[in-house]
Amino acid sequence: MKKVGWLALALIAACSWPATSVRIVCSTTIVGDVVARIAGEGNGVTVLLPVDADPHAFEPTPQDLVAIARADVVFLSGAGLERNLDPILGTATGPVVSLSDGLELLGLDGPNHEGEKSDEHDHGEADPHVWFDPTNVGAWVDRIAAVLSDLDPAGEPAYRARAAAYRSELAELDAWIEEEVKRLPEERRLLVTDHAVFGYFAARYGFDQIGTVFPGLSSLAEPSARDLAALENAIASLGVPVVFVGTTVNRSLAEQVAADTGTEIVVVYTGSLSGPDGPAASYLDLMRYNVTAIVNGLSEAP
Amino acid sequence: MTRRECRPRQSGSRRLPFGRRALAVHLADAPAVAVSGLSVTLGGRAALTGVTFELAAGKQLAIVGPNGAGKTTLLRALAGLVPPSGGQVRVHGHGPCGHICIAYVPQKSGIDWRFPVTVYDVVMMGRIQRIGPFRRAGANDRRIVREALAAVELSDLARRQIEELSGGQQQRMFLARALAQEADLALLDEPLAGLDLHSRNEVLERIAGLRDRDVSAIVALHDLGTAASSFDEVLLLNRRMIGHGSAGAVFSETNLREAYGSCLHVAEGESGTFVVHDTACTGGDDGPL
Amino acid sequence: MGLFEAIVEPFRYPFMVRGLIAATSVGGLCAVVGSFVVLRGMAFMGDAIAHSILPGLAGGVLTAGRGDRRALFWWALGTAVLVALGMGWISERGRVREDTAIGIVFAGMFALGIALISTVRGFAVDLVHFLFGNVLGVSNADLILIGAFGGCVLLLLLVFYKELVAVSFDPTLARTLRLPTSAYRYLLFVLVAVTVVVSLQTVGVGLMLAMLIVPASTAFLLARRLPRMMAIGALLGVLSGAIGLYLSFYGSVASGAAIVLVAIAFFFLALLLSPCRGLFNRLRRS
Repeated sequence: MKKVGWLALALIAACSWPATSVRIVCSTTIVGDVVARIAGEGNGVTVLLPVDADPHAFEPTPQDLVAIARADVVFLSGAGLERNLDPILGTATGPVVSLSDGLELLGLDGPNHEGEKSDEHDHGEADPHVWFDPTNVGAWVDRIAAVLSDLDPAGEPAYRARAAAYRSELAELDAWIEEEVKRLPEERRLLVTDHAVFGYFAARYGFDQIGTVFPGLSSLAEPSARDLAALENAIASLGVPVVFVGTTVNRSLAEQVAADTGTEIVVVYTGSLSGPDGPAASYLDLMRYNVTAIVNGLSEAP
Repeated sequence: MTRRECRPRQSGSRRLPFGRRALAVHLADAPAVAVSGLSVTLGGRAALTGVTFELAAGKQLAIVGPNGAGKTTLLRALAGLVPPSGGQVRVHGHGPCGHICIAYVPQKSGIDWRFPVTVYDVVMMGRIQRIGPFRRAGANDRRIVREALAAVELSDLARRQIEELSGGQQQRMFLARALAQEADLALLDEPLAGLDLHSRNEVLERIAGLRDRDVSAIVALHDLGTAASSFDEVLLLNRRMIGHGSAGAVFSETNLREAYGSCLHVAEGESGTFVVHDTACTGGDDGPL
Repeated sequence: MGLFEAIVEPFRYPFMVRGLIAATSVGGLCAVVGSFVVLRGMAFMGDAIAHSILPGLAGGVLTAGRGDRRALFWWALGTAVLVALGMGWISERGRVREDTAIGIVFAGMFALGIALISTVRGFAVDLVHFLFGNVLGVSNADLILIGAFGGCVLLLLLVFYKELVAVSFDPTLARTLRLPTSAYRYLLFVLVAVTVVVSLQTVGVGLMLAMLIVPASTAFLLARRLPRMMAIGALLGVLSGAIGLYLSFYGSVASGAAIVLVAIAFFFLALLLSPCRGLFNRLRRS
């Protein structure tokens, strides 16, 4: 009896404590949150970008280089989001995992067949904001568990267990979002944002990204006067009540557009989590907060 | 007590109402320039020692000496741009700093000749302190500038941008500026350098013309002949004053040898003064001037 | 669309009206101040000031947070004035040339800013972007700012015009005339610094740099006297702003870039065709 007891204890211990500590480096806070949920306690997760930093404009520091060099694995969101980190990824000694690889990527106008450059189908760059579709994050989760298991076979059962648990949370989130979105009539599902972040969200939940303040997929582009005029016309003619801005981008241009068209500015979290005390301290919180903001904002009369 | 170069409110000046820059009052019976025991140290080196002389109002003095003799330094000390380390400088009874009646034309003016100003504009600049801050040039100022330009015969070039002037015209422009400034003392550093004969004579004529306006002039020159023929007094300088007075007295063989280190004779001839370098003379350097 | 409609159409949009006022105001102001900058060989002072304010912005972010652009503006302005005085002081008495002094302060302050920011990691670029404006995004408050500060700068330039010109053209004369030459030099540096900060807060750094240098340089080729050079420069600045904005509206070009390209086009026209300094006429005469 005692032997069984000790064995059970040992098994439990083996399941809940990973045998070795894996040093993990993640690029954004969103990636960091998801990875940490799978990796669990005992593994060191370092996030390169601080809260509210803009991934499109981020410049790595020597500390980042050191972190990457020491890491056992580096997780990136991928699809071109962390382009500014490319020069220093060469110092990584372990695998560099681009989580969005293998996902069905969208371009600005529709599905993007990156790598298959033909004249008709070349939509340009891929949209990197894949995390706004929880099913994509589900794919991330599987990948993370697989990679961590490779590096730390002893911890595999724990990783798999946590991955399964998180996936069910993601499924819950997905269902909840569907319910919330149903409250919005179809003609109201129009998104105007500072830059084009909600492509995957729009595709999954039936929204339309009708315009952005900064053209294209990055916060670094400059709009022309014609772009802004077209945006204002679209807002006026479609009766959009809200402009959504992220926390990472200079919002003065968006504010002027909103003031001129009589719309409201609503802040959502796009490239980064909030701080630990904020309303979007984890990926799940971020999605819940954003969806609530979107649904409430668009329910208002313009 | 360390002497500093000109700051506002130096001794000898008084404030005029409305904050206008103070104008030193000229003492009635003081000579135009009175220098006693003047020493100037520049960069640790004694550039001038023990210079003493006076210049009466309306007279013209030529300063001559070899390169590095301190001619420029002396002029700058008189202009109040360099503080004396010993002795004193008096212009019309007061130190130079309170005066705005001193015109100084340096050797290389360091001016950007492409600056978009005309001859008229440059001459008008001489009147800045006469006009005063917060005010603009008035009819009287414009008249004075026109007269100054006429006095140096640059009236028809008044609208030219300064880049278009010849060397002689540039010097005349600076003289006109001195006149517009209503200067009582003009300090000119090598105004004839690099000019052809015709321009030299023109400039010398204008300098002589300053006498008519009671403007005293102190001019640094290289050419001993010009110094002797065109100026009332000469001052022979080589870091210290070697001689001061009429050209005949000052340009003695001893003095010249002391200054230039070789033998020079200044002689009067029918066609004017000329300088002869006696290379056979012993007791001095054999090198050229 | 008829010509009249084409001219009037953009003004249906308030952001175009504000943008036009901002672009023309900044163009005019920078051209006048830029005349002194170009003539004194201080052409890269605009870029230097824009970088040198980084420590001030770091201080502003650390105390007021990133969202408060007004606070960042005042921090930047204060830093710029100090930087200007520093540049003036280092180049006092000609012991260090002015362009060298500008470069030294620029390098030092920028490095100081980076050092400060590395304590608040990851912001380096974002930080300055949070101050840089965009001509299409100016608010009414920005217009008031430019009007107030621009007006003060122009007023001071007008009041002290003859003294500033003398100090710039012939400092020896200025000293002989017993003008407070150092004070006027410092004043000029400060006026340039204020112009730079207010302009880059309103229209961004690329446009500010161009408007400070290009219209004044063009006017230099076309004018013989300084007042006319300033007037022509201001006119060119205003025209570049207006034409550039129209290009941005009808041609879908980024507005800042469009304005700069128009200004550069004017410059090359003047370079070729100027009666006194133009290349065509030089070749013809020789």
